[in-house]
Amino acid sequence: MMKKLLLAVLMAGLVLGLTAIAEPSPKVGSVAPELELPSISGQSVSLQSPRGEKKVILAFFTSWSKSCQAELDALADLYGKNRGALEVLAVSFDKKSKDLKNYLAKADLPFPVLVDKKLSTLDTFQILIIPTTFCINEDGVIEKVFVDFDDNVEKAVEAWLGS
Amino acid sequence: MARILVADDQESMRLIISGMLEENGHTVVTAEDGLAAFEKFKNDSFDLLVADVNMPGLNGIEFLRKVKAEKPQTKIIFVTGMLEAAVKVGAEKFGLDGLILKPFDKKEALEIIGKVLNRE
Repeated sequence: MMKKLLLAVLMAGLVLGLTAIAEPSPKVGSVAPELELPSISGQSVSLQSPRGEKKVILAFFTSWSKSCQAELDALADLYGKNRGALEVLAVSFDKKSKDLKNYLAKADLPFPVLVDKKLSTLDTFQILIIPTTFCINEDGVIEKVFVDFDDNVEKAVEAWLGS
Repeated sequence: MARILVADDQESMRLIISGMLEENGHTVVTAEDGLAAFEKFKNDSFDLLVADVNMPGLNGIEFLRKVKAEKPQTKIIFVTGMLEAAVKVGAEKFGLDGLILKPFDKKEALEIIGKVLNRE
């Protein structure tokens, strides 16, 4: 019974962005950890740079996952609708550069794609399932974390952007 | 549906994995480290064990070795971030049944679990 309660609170925290009792680190309500990774073009990109100006969506993905592809398509739409008020950083865990490049050539994403072949952000952001998405406010505070992707997640991200 | 023991020292990971399995109709028991997992394994009956490799007390390889020595037919899947050589060799030597590499797609992980559960 207690386990079910803890799970319900955790999942509610992940999906609804509420503070959970047993939540993954980094926590909803805490400042997002720093992140600096090379982009697909080799340029170093930091999570810090957009802070204080725009909301940030940090999306962890792999190119072969259908759920990740659906999420990145949705984020590309949201990015277009919220241009100027939103930064999106997509972090790829792909091991094979060729697979990632082939996917990106087709997907034509309008935001930076960062490469984390060594999985250095896996522990920092406690990623277990992909896609995992962090919604970070203008002060760098994590307001929502979503694990996996479906229509409900898309609606919740859209609602967060409008809040 | 299956009865599954999930062993991971990180509570958030245990809850996410058990949540994913319970959503798919499985019954889940969790353990916070290798020693606790081995005790639960000895005193209960499971169709599958899903274990982290890096656990305190008894790491995944030691857990695998002890479980297979006790009940060789027990099915075990490791969840790990890096496929290190030691894990590969240990897993082959002691008869690991499946491997899920972090980070994973839910569908892919459930397929691996389903295949191992359905294997004779």
